[in-house]
Amino acid sequence: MHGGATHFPFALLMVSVAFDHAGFWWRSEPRRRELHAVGFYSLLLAAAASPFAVLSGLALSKGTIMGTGALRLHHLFIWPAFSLLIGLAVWRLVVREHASSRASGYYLVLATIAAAAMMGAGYWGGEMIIGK
Amino acid sequence: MKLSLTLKGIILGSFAGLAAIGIAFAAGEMFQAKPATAPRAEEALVIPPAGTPANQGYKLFMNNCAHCHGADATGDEGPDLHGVTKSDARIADMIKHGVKGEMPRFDRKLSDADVQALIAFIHSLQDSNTHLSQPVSACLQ
Repeated sequence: MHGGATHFPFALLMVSVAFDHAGFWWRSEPRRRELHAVGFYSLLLAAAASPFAVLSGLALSKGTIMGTGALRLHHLFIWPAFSLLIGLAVWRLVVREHASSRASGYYLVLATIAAAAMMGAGYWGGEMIIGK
Repeated sequence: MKLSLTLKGIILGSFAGLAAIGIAFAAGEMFQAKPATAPRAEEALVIPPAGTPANQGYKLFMNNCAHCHGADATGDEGPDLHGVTKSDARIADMIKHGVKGEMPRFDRKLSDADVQALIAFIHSLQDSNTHLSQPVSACLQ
């Protein structure tokens, strides 16, 4: 169940970050808004799906917060990623399209860090399942 | 004092991010089947002496196997490794090629020497009924 639930926030966060990056650098204003809209709704869906992934993971690991070995590495990445994902989603929900260019730039940096942390968590999660 | 929308977002976002982690950790406590007074799993394990193959196997076990077999090797998702009666060849085969649908294969991740070290560690579990003489962190350093 965790393996299935975890792919929704993972994929949606990647899509969100990719579209927000495209929207940040795109010149055409209408197209920028469209790209940011995709990024916004993808992020909200990722944040909404993430508690299911986290809870199923906690159930799978019998409530282990850190653990050892690959599980520990998985958790070292996933907890910051989860926290950032929820925090950034709430920030986007509050500011909507009223964010300044500078704030959007900071947002993109943090969202990219969250996506990178999510990738790290996915890698170590895969290491536990695949073992090679 | 009137806060800008961005600042409101930062405050609420930070609060939400921290709350999410707090709730997740609290949920983790609820999922834990063991009582809080139980000894940590690693503390129920005898760590082989430093410099021995079994000690190397212990380190490999903690990094690759403990999340399924338990940090004390008494089993979790995977079985208890104390009292394993299989031959070394069979254990090596299981580590290298896995068990379909149950255990991943490690032949691309672990060398033959690593597998032998793991087998030495598993053998060291057979007669280890005493408790830890040194902290886990000391052995892992």
